[in-house]
Amino acid sequence: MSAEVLTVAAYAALWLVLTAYVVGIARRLSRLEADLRALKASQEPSRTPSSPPPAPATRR
Amino acid sequence: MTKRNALERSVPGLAAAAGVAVVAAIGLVWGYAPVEAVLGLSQKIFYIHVPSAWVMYAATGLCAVAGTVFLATNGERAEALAAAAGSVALRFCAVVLITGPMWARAAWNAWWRWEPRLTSVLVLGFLLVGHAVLRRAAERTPPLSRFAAALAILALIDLPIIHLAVRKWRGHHPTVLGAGGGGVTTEMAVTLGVALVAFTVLALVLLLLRYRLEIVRREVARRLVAAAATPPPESGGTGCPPRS
Repeated sequence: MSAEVLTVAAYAALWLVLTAYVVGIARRLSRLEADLRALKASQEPSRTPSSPPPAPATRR
Repeated sequence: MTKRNALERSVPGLAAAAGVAVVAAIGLVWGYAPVEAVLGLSQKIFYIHVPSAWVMYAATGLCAVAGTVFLATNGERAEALAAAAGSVALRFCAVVLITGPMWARAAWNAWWRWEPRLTSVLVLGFLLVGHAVLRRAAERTPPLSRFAAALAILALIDLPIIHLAVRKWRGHHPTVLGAGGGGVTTEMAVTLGVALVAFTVLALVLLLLRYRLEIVRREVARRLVAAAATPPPESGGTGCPPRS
C-alpha cells in the first residue's frame, strides 16, 4: 500500500471516528432531552378550566 | 440539575473555534508544512497522531482525577465528568491505535510491532474499553461506578509507562520531540502547534457535550424513578406502582 493511500486513510479514519462520535452524542442527547421535557410536562400539576392559576403571593 | 453552567453555555462558541482551528490545521498540514525527505507524505500522519495522543493522555488523566474525587466524595458531577472524560479518551485512543499502524506500514513496512510503547498504548485501549463497559453497566447497577473509577486510576498509572517506554526500553517508536528527538523544522513545529490547539479545543467541546448527555441521562433516570414511586392521582393512592 502506498504512503499516499495510507495517509489519506489515516485522515479518513480520524474523520470517521470523530463524526460517528459526535452524531452518536447528538442523537442520544436529543432523545434524552425530549424524554426529559415529556417527563417534566407529565409531572407538573395538571390544571383544569375550573381551577384557575394560583394568584400571586403578594399584591399591592 | 440540568441547568446549564457557563462552560456548557459556551459550547456553540467553542465548537465554532474548534471548527476554525481544525480547518486552519488541515490547511497548514497540506499547504504549509513541507513533505519530509525520508518518510514522504506519510509523515503528515504525525500531525493527527501526536495531537490525538496528547488528548488521550489529558482525557485519561482527567478521567482518573474525576474518578478519584468520585471515590472520595461520591459526588454525582465528578462521576459524570469521569464518564465523559473516559469516553473522549477512548475515541482518541482509537485514533492513535488506527493512525499509528498506518504510519508504521509506510515507515517500517509492518502494521504492528510488539514493542514497549505500542503495547502499553494497546493496554491503555483495553483499560478504556473496560472503563466504558463498566460505565454502561453502572447505568443499571450503580455500584459498578466504583470499579470503573478504580480502572481509570489504573489507566493513569499506564500513562507514564507509555511516555517513558521509548526512552527506557528503546523500542522502535520514533522520538521526534524533546531531547534526543529527530527534530522538526519550524514549519512542522508551527503546524503541530496549531494542530495541538485545534485538537484540544475539539476535545473540550466533545467533553462538554458528553458531560451534558451524562447529566441529562441521570435527570431522566431520577424522574422515571420518582414517577414510578408516585401513584397516579386517579388511582386513589393505593400505593400500587404504575406500569412502566
